Amino acid sequence: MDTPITTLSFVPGLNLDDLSFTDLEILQAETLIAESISSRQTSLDVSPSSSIYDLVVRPKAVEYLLNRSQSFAIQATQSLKGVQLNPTLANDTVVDAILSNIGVARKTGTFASGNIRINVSKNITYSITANQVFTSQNGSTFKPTGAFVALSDPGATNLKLYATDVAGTQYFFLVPVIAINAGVSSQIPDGSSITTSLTIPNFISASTFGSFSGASEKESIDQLLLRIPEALSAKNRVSRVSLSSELKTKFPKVIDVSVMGYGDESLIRGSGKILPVKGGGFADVWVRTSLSAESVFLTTSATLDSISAAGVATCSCVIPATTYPGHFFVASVRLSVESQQYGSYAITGQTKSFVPSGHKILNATEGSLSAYQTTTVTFTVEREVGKLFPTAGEQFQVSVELLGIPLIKEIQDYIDDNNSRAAGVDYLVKASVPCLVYTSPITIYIDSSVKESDIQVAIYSYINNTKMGTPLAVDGVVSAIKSIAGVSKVSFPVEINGVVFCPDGSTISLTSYDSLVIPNRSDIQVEQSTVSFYISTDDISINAIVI
Amino acid sequence: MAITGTSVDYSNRLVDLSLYPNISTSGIPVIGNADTSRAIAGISKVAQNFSRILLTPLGKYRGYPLLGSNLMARIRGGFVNYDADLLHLFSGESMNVIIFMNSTAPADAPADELVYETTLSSYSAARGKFNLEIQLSTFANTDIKFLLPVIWNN
Repeated sequence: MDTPITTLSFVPGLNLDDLSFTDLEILQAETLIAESISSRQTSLDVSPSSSIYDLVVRPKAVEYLLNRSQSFAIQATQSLKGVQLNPTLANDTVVDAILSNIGVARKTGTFASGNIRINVSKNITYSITANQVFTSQNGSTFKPTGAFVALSDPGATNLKLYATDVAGTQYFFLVPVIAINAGVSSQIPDGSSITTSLTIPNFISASTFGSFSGASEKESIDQLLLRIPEALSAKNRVSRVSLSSELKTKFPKVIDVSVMGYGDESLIRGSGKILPVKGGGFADVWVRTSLSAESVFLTTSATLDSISAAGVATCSCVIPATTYPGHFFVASVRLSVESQQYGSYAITGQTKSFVPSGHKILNATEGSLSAYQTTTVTFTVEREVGKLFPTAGEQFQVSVELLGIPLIKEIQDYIDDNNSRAAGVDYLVKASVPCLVYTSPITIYIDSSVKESDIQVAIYSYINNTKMGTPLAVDGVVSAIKSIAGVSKVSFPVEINGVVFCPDGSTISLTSYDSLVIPNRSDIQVEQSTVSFYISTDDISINAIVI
Repeated sequence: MAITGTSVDYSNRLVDLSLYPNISTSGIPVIGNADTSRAIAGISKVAQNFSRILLTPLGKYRGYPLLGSNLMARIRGGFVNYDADLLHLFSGESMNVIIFMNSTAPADAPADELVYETTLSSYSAARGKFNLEIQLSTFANTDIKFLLPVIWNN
């Protein structure tokens, strides 16, 4: 019924129409209004046949019902209990407003970022404007972090144009980009094909250089509600919960905290050297600061240690503690600014150590994943025909890809701050031990409206939001899949796999059709309460069948 | 308080707003917008309510499925081809309106505010418009005749 009343938009989202109410409610409201008028103006005819009934009582009754409805809504939205009892009220605005009263703010989604490699055929100067849009095969879009100029002699401010071979038949440059939309679907893997919105002269191809990272989904209402107990706790270092609350308040990116202290098996610091007796005063603070593991590229010097008769060079480089504090491991060594001519690279080993600090750290395992760890990576370079090659003992530049999570040093510095640190406790902050998860193909029956990327995001969100201390359940994965409207069924068995990258440098492989349970290896600081699960969307394999 | 200009004592009557001018017990007024605000009671009120409800589409108001009539819908739907059609239509629809009005009237409503019957005294049709001349009688044996113009061809 399209009338001035219905189009007046008296309340946003709640128009002045009577469609929200039953005939009985309207009748009762009209009776109430008629009685109200009649009691004040006893001489007025307010019977249903009267003009006053048409002109005043009917519209007034609808207004009354709407106001009453709005009052109930406001009343219900004054408490989380009311919102939970009325799911239709549980929109982000209402929940955010309630939780702001106790200082809890929703974590907004973040944007994936990385580098795009542009391959071109000529050595000229290239301009990338800020309105260039890069699009991946899954439809994710990215923009440059600024306007750039790429040339072979870039100076301090421009991008470097690299030659990919000695002959100089092909060149490339790397453009730093950030996703236009928040969300993990933009975390596309290394080498993914990219298209450009604006023409680039001499363009050959474009692809991602390293996996994109740094994205997260906007925190859901359920996830937000789970944080309330911590938000309401005292923010100090008296208990595990209060320390967790303090860190999450100070560092909004902190997602999960697990404190291993007195009496916990995995706290190996403070143990006696001769007798395995632990003294008090030590605690390891395992933190997770990102949903996804980040790839960080850095250029560093490597040394060619030896060359075999077959022409394979064994090289090494050291990642200092300050480069990427608390990083998990070195994921790759590849072409860099100065060494792109050499050939293919393969990591053969990496060894962790630590630098001295004010904290009691006795061995590499204790210092691993902390702000004080260092990593020495050894790798081989295989000579390729037609390419330059270094000589023994020569130093050269390589690009090293580190996998890890941010803020480890910042959190350590905050805890160590003289003004606020706990007296008598040696807190060592560490990145939670990573268990990198991947799935075997999951067969899912869906209707045509379902996008595979939505399923991937649901699985990603479940797995990456699993807290330390909790096994990764296949049930949870299936529930996440079934939460997508249009999913009919999931074929069993569902196999999930994981690799734990232990602090001592070893790995533990896990496979399960039920749940991934971290084995108790407290001697190397691996147990359920120190390990976080990480999965990237490209490690989620889906076999979708449209029915 | 007596209503000015009437010969009936309307003291203690429930009054309504007058929407139309010149509905009185004498002459044949034309339904239209009121030129000045005033209160009405008695047969004038009844005539106004009758004409208003007669022109209201049946079922327009939630909770009152019997309020209104199909008069306009039928006229505009092409159901009136002969004089008898209009007379028949008016008789049926007006009877429903009367039943509704009397059934919803206050229990202590005076006799001149309860409709006894209505008749279509005459009508004329010209240029897409019917002029219905309606005579309304109350249980107090009072009558009122008024002209109700109805535009049917839009």
